[in-house]
Amino acid sequence: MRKLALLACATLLLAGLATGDTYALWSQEYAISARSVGHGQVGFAVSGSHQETEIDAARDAADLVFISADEELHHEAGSTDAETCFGFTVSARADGNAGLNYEISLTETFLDTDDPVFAGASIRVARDLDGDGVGDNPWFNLTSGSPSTGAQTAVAARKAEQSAQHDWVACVTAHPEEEEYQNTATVTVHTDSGQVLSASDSWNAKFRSVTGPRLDLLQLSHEVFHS
Amino acid sequence: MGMRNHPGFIAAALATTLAAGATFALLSDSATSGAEAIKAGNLLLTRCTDSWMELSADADGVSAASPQSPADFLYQPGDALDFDYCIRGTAQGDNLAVVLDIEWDEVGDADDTFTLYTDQGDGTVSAADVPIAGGPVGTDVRVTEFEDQRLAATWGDEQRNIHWLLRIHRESAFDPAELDYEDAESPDVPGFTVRMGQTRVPVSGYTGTEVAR
Repeated sequence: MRKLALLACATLLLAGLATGDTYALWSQEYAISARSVGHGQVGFAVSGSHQETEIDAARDAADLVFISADEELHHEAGSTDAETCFGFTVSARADGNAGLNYEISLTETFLDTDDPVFAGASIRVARDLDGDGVGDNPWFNLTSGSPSTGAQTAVAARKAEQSAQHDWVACVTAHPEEEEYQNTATVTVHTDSGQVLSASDSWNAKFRSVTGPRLDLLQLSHEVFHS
Repeated sequence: MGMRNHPGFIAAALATTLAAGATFALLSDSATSGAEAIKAGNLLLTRCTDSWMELSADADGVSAASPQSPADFLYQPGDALDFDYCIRGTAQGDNLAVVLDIEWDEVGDADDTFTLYTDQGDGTVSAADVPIAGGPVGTDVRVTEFEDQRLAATWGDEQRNIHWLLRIHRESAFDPAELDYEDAESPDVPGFTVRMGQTRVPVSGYTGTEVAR
C-alpha cells in the first residue's frame, strides 16, 4: 500500500514537471470582487404651454430643443396688439460634471417667417425664479439683431445626481399686418313708371389672419462643462 | 586450582552464549542525543484596506487627489481615478521562493490600466515604491523571486513582510460626444484573484506577464 502511494505521488510530480506547470508546495489566495462605479447622466429638455409636444428632450450634446407656437398661441398673438405671454420650463441635469450652460435664441424659421402674425414680431424672455412671476428679474429682448439670451447656468454641482428646473416666461408682441378689403353694396329698384333707380355704397374693412401653421419660436442649445 | 579457572569451563560458557544469539560486547559505552526540533517556515497572505482617489479637478478647479466614496461618485468622461488594493505577504524560511499571481476575472474597460508596486508599507504609492509590472487590466501577471534573487539567500530565519500595492487607473478625456443621455452604467472595475505561493520549479508555459526579480 505504501509503495502504491509513493508511486502515485511521484507520477503526479513528474506529470507536473513535464507539462511545465508551477509546482506550488504551498499557496494561499483570495479573490477581489468586481467594483461597480457610479455613472453620471446628462439631460436637457424644455416643455412649454404652447407647443405640440409636451417635452422636447436633447438626444446628445449637439441636439437643439425648441419652443414652438401652437394654434392657440397663433390665435392669441394675432388677435391683439398687446403682448401674449406664456411659460416654459428648462430641465437639465449634469451628474458628475461641473455644470451645464444653455442659451435661448430665436429660431431661423422665426426670423425668416412670412407668417402674417409672427413676421416682424419680437419676443422677450425672463426667469421666473420662485414661481411667482418675473418680478424684478431682467428681461432678455430677442430681436433679429440680438437673437440670444447669453448663457444661463443651469447646474453647478458635481459628484452627485443633480438636476435643475428653470421656469421662464416668454412674451410675444406681434404686429400683424391688417389686410383691408372694400365692400360695396348696390341696390337697384325698378319703379312702376319703369324708372330704374340704383344706389350703391362702399365701405372699407380691416381684418387679421389669426391662424397659421406650427412655428418654432425659440431654440435652446446647451453645453456641459466638466471642470 | 578451582573449577572456574579451568580453560574448558570458559570455552563452554562462550559457546553457550554464541549459540543463544546474544550480543557480546567486549567493551560498551553509550551517549544520549537530545531531539532536534525542525522549525517550519511560514507563508501568509493577508488583505488590508483598499482605497480609491479622484485625480481630476473637482468643480472648484482643485486637482489635488481626494478620496472618494464609491457610493456617491459618478464617473464621467474627463475623470481620472486610482483604485488601490494593498496586498500583504509574510514569508519566513530557508530555501523559500515566492510566486505572486494576479489573475483577472475578465478584461477591463479600455480606459483601465494597472500597475503592481512594491509598497513601503504605508498602503499608498510613494516615490520609494517600485513599479514591477503593469499593463491593461485583464493581463495576468506572475512575479517570482523578490528581493535578492533567491529569497533563501537573504531571508533565512528572519520573517520578512512583503508589501505590494495593485493600482488600477481609469482615465478618459472629456468629450461632449461621450456624454451619456441614456440611463447607462459605467463598466465595473474587474475583480481579480491574488495568489501567493512557494515554488521550486522554474516557471514556464505561463501566458501572462511574467516578472522575475
